[in-house]
Amino acid sequence: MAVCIAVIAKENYPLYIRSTPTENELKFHYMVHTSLDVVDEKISAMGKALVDQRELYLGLLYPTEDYKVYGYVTNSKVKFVMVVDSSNTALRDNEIRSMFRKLHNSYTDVMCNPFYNPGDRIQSRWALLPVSDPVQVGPAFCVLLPSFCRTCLAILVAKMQPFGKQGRKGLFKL
Amino acid sequence: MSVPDYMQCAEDHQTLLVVVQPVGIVSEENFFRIYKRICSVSQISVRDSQRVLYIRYRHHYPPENNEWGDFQTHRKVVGLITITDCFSAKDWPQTFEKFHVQKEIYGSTLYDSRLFVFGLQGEIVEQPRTDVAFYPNYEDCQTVEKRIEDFIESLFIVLESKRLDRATDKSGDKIPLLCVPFEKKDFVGLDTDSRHYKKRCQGRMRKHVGDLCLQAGMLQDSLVHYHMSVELLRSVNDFLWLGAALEGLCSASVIYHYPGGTGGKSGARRFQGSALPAEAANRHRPGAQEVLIDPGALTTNGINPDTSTEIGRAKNCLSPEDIIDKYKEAISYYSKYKNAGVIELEACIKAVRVLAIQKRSMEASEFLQNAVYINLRQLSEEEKIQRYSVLSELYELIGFHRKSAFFKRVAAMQCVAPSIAEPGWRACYKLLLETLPGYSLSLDPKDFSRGTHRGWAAVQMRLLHELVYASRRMGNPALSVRHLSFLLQTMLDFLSDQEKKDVTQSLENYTSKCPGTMEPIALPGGLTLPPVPFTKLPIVRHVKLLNLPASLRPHKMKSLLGQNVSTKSPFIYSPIIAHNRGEERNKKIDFQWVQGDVCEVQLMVYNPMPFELRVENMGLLTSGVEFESLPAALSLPAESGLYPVTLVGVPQTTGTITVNGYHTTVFGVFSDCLLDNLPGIKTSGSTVEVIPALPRLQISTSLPRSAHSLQPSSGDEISTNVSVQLYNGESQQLIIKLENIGMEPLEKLEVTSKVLTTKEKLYGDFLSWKLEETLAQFPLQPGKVATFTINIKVKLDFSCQENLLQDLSDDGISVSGFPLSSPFRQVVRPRVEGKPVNPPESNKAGDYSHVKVSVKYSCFFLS
Repeated sequence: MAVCIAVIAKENYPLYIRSTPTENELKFHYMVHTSLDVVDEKISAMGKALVDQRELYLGLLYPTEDYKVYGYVTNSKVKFVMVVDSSNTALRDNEIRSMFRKLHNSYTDVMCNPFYNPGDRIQSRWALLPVSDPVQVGPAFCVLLPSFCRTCLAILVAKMQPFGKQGRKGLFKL
Repeated sequence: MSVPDYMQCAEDHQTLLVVVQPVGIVSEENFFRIYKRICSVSQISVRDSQRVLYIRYRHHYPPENNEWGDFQTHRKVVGLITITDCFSAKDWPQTFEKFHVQKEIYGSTLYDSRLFVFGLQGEIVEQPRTDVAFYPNYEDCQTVEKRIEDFIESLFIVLESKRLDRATDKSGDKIPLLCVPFEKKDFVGLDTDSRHYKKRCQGRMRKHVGDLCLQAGMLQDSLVHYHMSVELLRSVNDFLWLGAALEGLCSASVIYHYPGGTGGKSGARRFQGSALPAEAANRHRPGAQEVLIDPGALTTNGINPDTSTEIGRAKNCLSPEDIIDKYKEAISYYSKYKNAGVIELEACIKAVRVLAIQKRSMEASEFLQNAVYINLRQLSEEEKIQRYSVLSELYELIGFHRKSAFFKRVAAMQCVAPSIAEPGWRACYKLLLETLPGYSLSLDPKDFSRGTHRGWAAVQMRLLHELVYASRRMGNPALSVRHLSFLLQTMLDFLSDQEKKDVTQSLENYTSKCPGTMEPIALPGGLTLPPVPFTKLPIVRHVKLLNLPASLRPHKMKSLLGQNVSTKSPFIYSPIIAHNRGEERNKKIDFQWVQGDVCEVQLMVYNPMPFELRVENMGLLTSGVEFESLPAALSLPAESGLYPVTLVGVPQTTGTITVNGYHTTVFGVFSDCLLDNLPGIKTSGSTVEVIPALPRLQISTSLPRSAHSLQPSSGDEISTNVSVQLYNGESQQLIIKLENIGMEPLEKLEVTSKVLTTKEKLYGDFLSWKLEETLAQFPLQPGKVATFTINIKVKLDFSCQENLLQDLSDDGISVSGFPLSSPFRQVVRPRVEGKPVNPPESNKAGDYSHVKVSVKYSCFFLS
């Protein structure tokens, strides 16, 4: 189960970071921040490889006592870092890989949003990141959608009148 | 063995450990002066051979670490140098006794020792002794270095004899079993005759000989011995010593591969720094020969008889990759033993240093990660700090700046852990400052002014809070104020409303003791904290320089300059000039300010805070002209919209004035905010010409002011309305008082009048004045009053027109509104206006006769 997901810009500042145990958020900030050292090192090590052959998934960055930190880097050098509970043995490399792939897709969706300025913090009013559910990370990562301006939101809500019935997941399948 | 030496590096394996200690009362200063001189003798070439000895000096060494000397000989204290003060001969025996006591501590391992006595003179000094050197004082001791060299040579002789003794030990039947302190009880009652036991003894001894060879400067030999030892120990599963043998192998290989050293302490440590590895190998060949003096000794011990082939093979020395593999193996063996935690930790550190040189950061970080988890016994707080600092340094070494900062911060927090009786806030603060680059945080607000802040806000905010707290506990409120202002200024967007309140609350508390200034604060470490102007409290969006009010606006008099207004260029048109003017227009505003007059600048500000913001002492920062700024205080409501604020000041000299910015005092912090540094500010130019002071005239009349203005002010002129009611034939004097309220003498006065009515003929010319009388009082000095009298005489001519009466009666009824007004009453309402310009045409004539009396005044400058 991912306990923390972070999207980090090319210049190594966080675009998005959210963790499920919100009471100790700072701990995960530190964890993700220090993991960037390893990410940098791994990127510089594979810098020579051909672009199309490059593996985006960086693998395990480092284990700590309670958590494992995994990394992923897009071709535009945006990094994804995921912290998972090390007690969870169900998550193998393949699951982590697919979670990252979903995350990447969601991130691409965010980039496609005309209201989003690349480089801005990704803000979300939908604080329902189900990081505890690995299968859901992908589709529900639409929470990454930036906060809409009020009018847009109003239009959206007007269109999606049965907000409660349809659930939030359906909201973005416009 | 409980105290790890975090500074160890692989090449320490070839050093001899010498402890230098004071005996009795020796001042720290004197001791370290001598200690420094002793330390300068860190390597010497042994005479008659090409071998080099390396010495490691310590002024403190825990004796329990000494007990591990058999395990790794570089941990063994082989030399002791004591330094003592002794001023009289009768203290001498006592001092000498102390020296012996000191010797006892490391007695079991010492090869030799020396006593340096300072201050003693007399016959004792005359007796030549090898183990004691006398010096009259701490200045006069030139031979210290020579003495140390002799001492080291004597150490070498012992070392060499031990080495040869062990290496050629023919009494093969009984090799003593070397063991580490915690093993001793395990071997009680073991069958000493078994093959297994013998092999173990041989392997350990071989490893020991390898250590000695390495110390004696015989690298190749040591490699051979280590290799043999590894094979022996592997066969008997003696893991701890196998680990040590492997580590020895690594150390020797590191020394071979990296003559520059891995500790980074002294680059030119070995062989004047220039010896190539191949050369170094050759130099060691003589040593390698020596071991072959008696090859029989080796065979009798059941070791590979043909060592000569092994010496020749390159595989003796590990390749750089192998070094790391072997280190890994050694560490994994060490980790089987709880009591060898220190050894394991030190091995990790050594490996990391090697990897750092090899630039293999990822693997190095794995070793460090392992080192973090090595659980030593309960560490004291000081040791914890040391451990975290070293981890931080090592991470820095391999280029992991963030991780390094993390551990440094942990070390800083450890300095002030609640369990420490006297928290080291100063040390904590210093360490925290060192973490700043790791968190990509600079304390210069200028780095943040461009656009939005991009960084690890949550982490950085935490760090800033800690800096504030540490500096406060250090008793330096100025620093806390600076850091807190920085926090507020740069992290404003990330603070929650409650946090904003808390931060400002504490900032106000601090500034009540120590107001924030604009001075840079220099820290002892050479860092300076630049001032933090609050450009966001309040946020200024728009700056506009205002023209003077219409009454005070200067007007150029054409007559004065006459035809003299000519361009400086002889050309009628020049594109260059036009271009210049266009450029100037960007910055310069096309109105003027007047010296001595109050000038205004309007700022549009807003308050981003969720509470009322009190801004005090808000004034302008200008340059170019002496400017007396009149500060204002304002209070902005919570999260206000744009709010206009007018800042005023008086230019004291003439020239071109540039408004550079403004200063404020918010929460007790003074800030100078320069417009250039403000992001997203709109300004319509900030440079204005200040012209010399002009006179000011105040006009008052004897007649009461009219309640309603008959003519709207057109903006260009200043008017005062007075009204008077007169009967036909009646006359009245209107006295106009002209007071010079400026600082300049008034020199010229012009008066014109105009009756604004279509019925001019009807009323005739009823105003008359004598200007000469008034002009006689000119030039009017400042503060002086001149009077100007206008006679109003009403004489209506009823004879000319029929409908006059009708008109008048209409007037009377419709306008005056007096119920008692008779048709024969004439209402005249003259209007006197003091104005500096020609009156414009007004069509609002009609019922009354409006009279405009224009007063023009001016002064001349003889410039």
